[in-house]
Amino acid sequence: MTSGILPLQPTDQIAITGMGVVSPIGQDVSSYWSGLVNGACGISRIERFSTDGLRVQNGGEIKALRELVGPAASPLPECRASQFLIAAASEALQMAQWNNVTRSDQRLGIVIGTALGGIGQAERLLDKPHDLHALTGAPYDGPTRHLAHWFRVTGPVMTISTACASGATSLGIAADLLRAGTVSAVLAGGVDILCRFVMQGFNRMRSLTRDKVRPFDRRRSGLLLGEGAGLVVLERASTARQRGISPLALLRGHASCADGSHISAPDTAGRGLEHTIRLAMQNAEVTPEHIDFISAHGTGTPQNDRVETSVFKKVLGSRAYAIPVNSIKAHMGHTMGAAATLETIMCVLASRHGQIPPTLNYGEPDPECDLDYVPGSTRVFRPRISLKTAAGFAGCNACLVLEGVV
Amino acid sequence: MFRGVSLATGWGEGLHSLPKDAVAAAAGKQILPLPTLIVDDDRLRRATRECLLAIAAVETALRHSPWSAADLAGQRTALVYASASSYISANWSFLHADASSVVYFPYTAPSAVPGEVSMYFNITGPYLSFLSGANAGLEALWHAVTLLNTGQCERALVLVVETFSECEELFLLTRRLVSFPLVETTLCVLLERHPTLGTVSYDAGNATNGGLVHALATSALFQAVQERQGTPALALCGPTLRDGHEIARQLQTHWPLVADLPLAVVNARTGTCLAATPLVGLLLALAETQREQILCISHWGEAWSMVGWPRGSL
Repeated sequence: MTSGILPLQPTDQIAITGMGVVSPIGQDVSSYWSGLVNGACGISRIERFSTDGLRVQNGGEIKALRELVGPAASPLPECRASQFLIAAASEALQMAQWNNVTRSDQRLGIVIGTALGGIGQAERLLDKPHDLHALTGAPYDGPTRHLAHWFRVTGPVMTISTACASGATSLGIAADLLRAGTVSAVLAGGVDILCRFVMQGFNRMRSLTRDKVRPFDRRRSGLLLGEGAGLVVLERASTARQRGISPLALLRGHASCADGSHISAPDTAGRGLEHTIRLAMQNAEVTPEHIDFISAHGTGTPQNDRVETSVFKKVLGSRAYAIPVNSIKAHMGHTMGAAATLETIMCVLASRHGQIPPTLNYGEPDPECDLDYVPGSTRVFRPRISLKTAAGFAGCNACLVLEGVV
Repeated sequence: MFRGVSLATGWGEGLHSLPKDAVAAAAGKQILPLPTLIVDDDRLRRATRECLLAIAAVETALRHSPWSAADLAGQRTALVYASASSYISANWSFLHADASSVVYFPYTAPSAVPGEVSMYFNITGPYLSFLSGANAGLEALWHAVTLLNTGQCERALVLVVETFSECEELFLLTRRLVSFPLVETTLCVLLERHPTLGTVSYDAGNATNGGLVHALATSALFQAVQERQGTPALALCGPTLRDGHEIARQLQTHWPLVADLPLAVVNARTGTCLAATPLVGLLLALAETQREQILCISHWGEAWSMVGWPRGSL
C-alpha cells in the first residue's frame, strides 16, 4: 500500500502537531481549554432556527462564528458545517505551521467524520426549489469537499461516518493513511451542526433531557445536542521533527468496531465497545497499568453511562477505580461527529497543562456508575496515556489511545 | 483474497447482465431501479429499502462463497460500507416528514445500512462507512485490505449500496447524472486475509485548480504501473460516462497506451452507479481480461482515488 512517500517505519509514530476548535464554549483552542477547566456551560436556548413543537429547545449552539480569514480568494461556503471546518482547520494548520510548507512533495490529506454532513444545508434548500438538485451530490460529503477546495489540498480527501463516533474514527483512518505512506500529513477530525432536522429526530426518540446534562450522575435523564468542529493535524513524528515541530501528542492506537445489536441503543453488555477498547490498546501496545485517564463518551443517558462504566471495569479490572474518567458533554452538549475530536483535543491539553476538566453537574453517585468521574472542579493531574471512547447510532464504537508529549 | 461476490444492478444480477453500451441499452430510461424486496422478518420491520437490499447483497455473496452466515458472526469480521446516495431518500423523506412519517430516526444516518447488516449477521468486528461520493467504493476496498493486512480481522465485507428510485423526483432534477442513466446497485465483496493482499496498492489525492488528469498521471501508483513490465487492465470511472471518457481522452496525452488497454471507461458498461462503479470495473477486468494487474481509477469532483490490484491476490 504505497505511494511516493515512504511507508512508516515500525519505530515511527503518529504525532498530533496542530489542533483547531470551534465549540459552544470557545472558538479557538485556548478559549476552549479555559472554558473546560473553568466549568463554562455553552448550552442555551436555540435561536438560529425554530424549535416550535419540540419538547426541548436547548442545545450547545454557537451564536456567532468568528470571522474567517483564509488563504483562498473564493467566498466562504454558505454551508455552516463547512464554515466550522474552515475555521477549525485554519487554527490547526497554523499551529502545526503547515501553512509554511511549500514543498510540492508534501501532500496534505483530509479525513472528516460526521453524523450529519451537510444535511443541515438541505433544510435551507427546501425553500429554494431551483437549488434542490444539490441534494443529489452526496450531501454528507459536501463540507469535506469545501474544506479541501478552500485549502487547495493535494492529498486524499475522505468523508467517513460512524455516527457520533466519527470524530475518533476519522483520526484512525488518517493514521492508516500515514502508515501506508499515502500522505505527508492529514487534517482529521469531525464536524456537525445543530439544525431542526436532527433536533426533530432526537425529539422523536425522546432522548433529550429537559434537565441539565448530568453524565454518570444518578439523576441523569438524557443528553442535549451541541454543534462544533474539532480538527487535528496528524503527521509522522519524524517528519514533524524534521520540520522543527515538536509533537503535541502521539496517537498510539485506534479501533472502530460494531455492536451488532441495536440501531439506536448501545449493546447492554457493551460487547462492541469492549472489543474496540481492547483492540485499540493492543494496537497501542499498552496494558491497563499504562492508562492514566479516560475521556468517556458520557452522554448522560441512563444506558450509555452504565454500559460504559461496566466496560471500563471489564477491560481495566481493578485499575479502573484508580483512573479519573470525565465527560465534557455537560459543558457544550453532544456535538455528534465533532465530539470525539473535541474530546481528543481535551486529552492532549490535559497532558500538556497537567489538569483534568471536571464532569459538570455530577453530584449524586449511581451505584452502577462507581468510578472516579472528576466531580466538582478541575483536578491537578498530568495523564501520560489517555483513552478516548466514543459511540454512535447503528452500533458504532471507537477508541483512541493517546500519549501526551510534554 | 476474494471468497465471494454479489452484484445486483438495475440491469440484472451479475456481471453478465451488464450491457455493452449502457446509454443505448437504457433506451431513454433515466433511472434503472433494483426490485424492492419484501422481507417477512420482524427484526427488520423498521429497516429502510436500502437496508434490505444490503442484507440481500450479503446473503447472495455468501451463497457464492464457501462461507455460511455463521462464519461472518463475531469480532474477526470487518464490515466496510460505502455509498454516495443510499441515505438521500431517507433524509429526503425525513425532511418532509410529519408525525405519520414511515422513516424512523435514526434510519436517516448512513450508518443505518451497515448497522442493520451487522445486526442481521451479528458482525462485531471493525466497522465504518465511507461517504466520499463516487470514490467511497475504492476507499472502502483499501480500508478492508488494510484491516486484513494488519491483522485487525480475518474476513472483511466490502458493501456498496447506491439507490435513487425512492427520491426519483429529486434525481430527475440532475440532468448531468440521469442522462447516462442512473443505475441502482448493490455490491458485496467477501475478502479473506491472505499474504498476497500485501501487494495491493493504493493512492489518492485532490486535484486543485482543475488539474485532475495531471494529478492522476503524476501519481506515484500510476507511474509505478507504467514502469512495470506488462500492461494492466484499466478501469476508469467518473461520476458519469462523460467524465470517464474525458479522463480517458486526456490521460492518453500522458500515457498513449491508454487507448489500447482493455476495459477503460467502466461507466460505459454500468451507467452511473457512483461508488459501486470502480469495484464493478475491478470485477469486470478480472473476469474479462487476463492482465496481471488491474488499475482502478475513480474521481469525484477534484478528489481521486486509485487502486492497483494484482490478479495474483484473487
